Amino acid sequence: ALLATVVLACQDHEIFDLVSELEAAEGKGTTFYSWLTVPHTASTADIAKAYRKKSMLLHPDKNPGVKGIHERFSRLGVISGILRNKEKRERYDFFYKNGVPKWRGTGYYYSRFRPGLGFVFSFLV
Amino acid sequence: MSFGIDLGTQSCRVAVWQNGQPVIVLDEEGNRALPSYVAFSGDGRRFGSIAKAQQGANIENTVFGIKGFLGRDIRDTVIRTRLSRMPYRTSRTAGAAVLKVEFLGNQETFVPEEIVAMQLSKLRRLVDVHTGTQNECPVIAVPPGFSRHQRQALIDACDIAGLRTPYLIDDTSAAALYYAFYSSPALPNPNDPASVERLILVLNMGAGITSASIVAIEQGLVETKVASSNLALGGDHFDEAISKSLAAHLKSKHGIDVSDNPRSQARLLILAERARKELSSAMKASIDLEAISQDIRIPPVTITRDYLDGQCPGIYDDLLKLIKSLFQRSAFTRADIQEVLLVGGTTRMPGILSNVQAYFSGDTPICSVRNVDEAVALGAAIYGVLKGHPEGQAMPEKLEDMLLMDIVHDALGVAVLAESVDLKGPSTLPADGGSFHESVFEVVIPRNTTFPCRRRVDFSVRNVGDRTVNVQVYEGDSKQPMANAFLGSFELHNIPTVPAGSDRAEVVVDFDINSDHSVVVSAKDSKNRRRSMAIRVGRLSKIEKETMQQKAERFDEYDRMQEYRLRRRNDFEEYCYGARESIERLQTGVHECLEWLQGEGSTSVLDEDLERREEGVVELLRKALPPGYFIGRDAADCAPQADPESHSQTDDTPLYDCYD
Repeated sequence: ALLATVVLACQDHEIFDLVSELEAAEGKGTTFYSWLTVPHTASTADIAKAYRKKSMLLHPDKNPGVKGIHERFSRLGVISGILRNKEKRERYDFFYKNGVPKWRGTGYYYSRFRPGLGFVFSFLV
Repeated sequence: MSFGIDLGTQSCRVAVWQNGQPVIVLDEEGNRALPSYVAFSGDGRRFGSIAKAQQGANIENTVFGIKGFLGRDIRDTVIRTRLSRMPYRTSRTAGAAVLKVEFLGNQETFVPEEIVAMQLSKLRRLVDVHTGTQNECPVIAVPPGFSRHQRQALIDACDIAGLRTPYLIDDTSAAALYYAFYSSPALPNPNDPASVERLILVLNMGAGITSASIVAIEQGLVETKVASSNLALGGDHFDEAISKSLAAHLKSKHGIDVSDNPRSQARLLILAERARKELSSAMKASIDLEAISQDIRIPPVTITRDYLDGQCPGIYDDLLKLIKSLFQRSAFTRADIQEVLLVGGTTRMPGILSNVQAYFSGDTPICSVRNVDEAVALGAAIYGVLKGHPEGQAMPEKLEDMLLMDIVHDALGVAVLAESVDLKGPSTLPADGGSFHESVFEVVIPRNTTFPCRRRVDFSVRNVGDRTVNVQVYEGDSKQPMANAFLGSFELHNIPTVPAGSDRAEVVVDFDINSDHSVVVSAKDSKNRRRSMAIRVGRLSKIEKETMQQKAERFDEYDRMQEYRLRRRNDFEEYCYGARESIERLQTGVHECLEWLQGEGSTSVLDEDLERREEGVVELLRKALPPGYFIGRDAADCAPQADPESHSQTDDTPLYDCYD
């Protein structure tokens, strides 16, 4: 069971990344559902509808020259893709209910955080 | 300002946004479409219907159907046979078709991009004349099945024509956009079926290319779900089938062999096209073969709809295959489609309609937009406003709630080592170009993803000792990288292991598709060192394009010069005719007066009569002579005298110099 969790955690990196990116860009505590303004019990059709509504606000064509809009719209596409896919939505719902784990597996940190020289020195001292 | 172009195999249409709606721009003759013909001759270029009309007299230097060769690889046998069938002279260099024509007394060679550039700048001139302003931003509708190479070739053509920031839009999406524009109610109303989401199948069948897509329309929002094209299916095939059977008929019945006569073949093709269009409304069409041969009288041939359907049954199968492929590529089924939208001239054919109707077993309403031929150009013009409207300026009211969300048609991804795919965890990137049988294609951005989008994927590094990866980017559907289109590659060196000294190393590859469909691929290692590559697939180098642009400018300049000369010549001719007319009138007027003076006027003279006649002659004189040389008469007792010296100083007003 432990092994299975570790293996799955490897595939959940995408979700972890998205959760932290979303919170960084849209404010702390923003979840996939709250960003799309739908309840977490929403049907796929409702999510599609909410996605379109949100697209109208965030599409680069509607916001020419707005900085960071490209990123936000891209994220919207990925997030709605997760919520409209049954399996991926179940994965997200698991973390939505239980919270994103604090410890995300060694592989996650290896690929994302590199201790700088200063950090290493401070750690040694 | 922007304008929308439907660049067809057979004809082009161009539209602009004007007075709150998209309108079609007419050509000089008042036609709503410009046939995609360019004719070269000793005294300049001809476009559109003029070029098409003179084709028979100038068969070798009249170029048409060039869209099918744009951005295509000449090594493709289908393309090569099609090219060899064309009546104009062709050859090839570096994998691309080259056209040879005689122009202004010289042998000139052009690549397809240059010909398309000529058409584009012609269309742009029409728009400039129509709006009275400079227009530089075209939105060009292309079939969704156009590959990245074909799209790039079109953008290169825009560069050569001096058109900046071109946008490409799928032709089916453009048609859907136009449909949403005029069919969507202003306010959402749950009882109105038009204001809730509708799933529509758009079928655009043109002369050479057929495209189909499934779009969701909710109010003004058009979301493309899946799209596909058949680049070798269109109305042309019917024409070819008819002209082939006509040629056989001529040979067997009248002993005329047209197989080595390109002029007659081109003529037959035009006759066939006319007959096919006639059959869309009539049950029978008669083809007059008189023009094929001067020597023998050939009675006209009559063809029927059934005969036409019998000639090319494969076309309907191909069409249904295209529609079915949309369902295969997506999660939708036939029952999900709420409406079928037919656009493109060929969908007027009754056979197309009945086959589509039969496929949807009559449950789904089949509708066509108001302007079957023009929907694509009008939709592209709308997209031009949505895309290119100046910052800070208010969007036209009707377009405020409109948005088009387009999709990526082919999956994008990288080559990874086959042995690593089935293992859990990230796949492994090859360390070098590697052998192709070892690698498989791994999708990063799947087909039908809405763009702009961005996606990151983790990969591991195979040979930690090499500390190098080779990121090879492909586009396509096949698991075999070689069967897909290669878009470029780059390497990342000195990848650190994490933790240092272990045998693990990771690379994050990032695909970023912009709203203009351009792709940037970047890779970064765990130390955040990044390399990126913008995908460029163009065949033409920057220098080549610049040379072509200069050439195009020279020809444009020549055409403008020629136009100017022609206008001046016509002006002068008109002036001469006018002068002759007024002199003749003056002559007859003076002659009549003299006759009157000799006859009736010599016996009884009334003041009123004299005055009337005098005024008449003065008026005629005023029309015939320039103001400064006009000899006026004020009253009967004033003896007028022309004084050229003093008149020349005030030559604007007629002078009435009177002295005693």
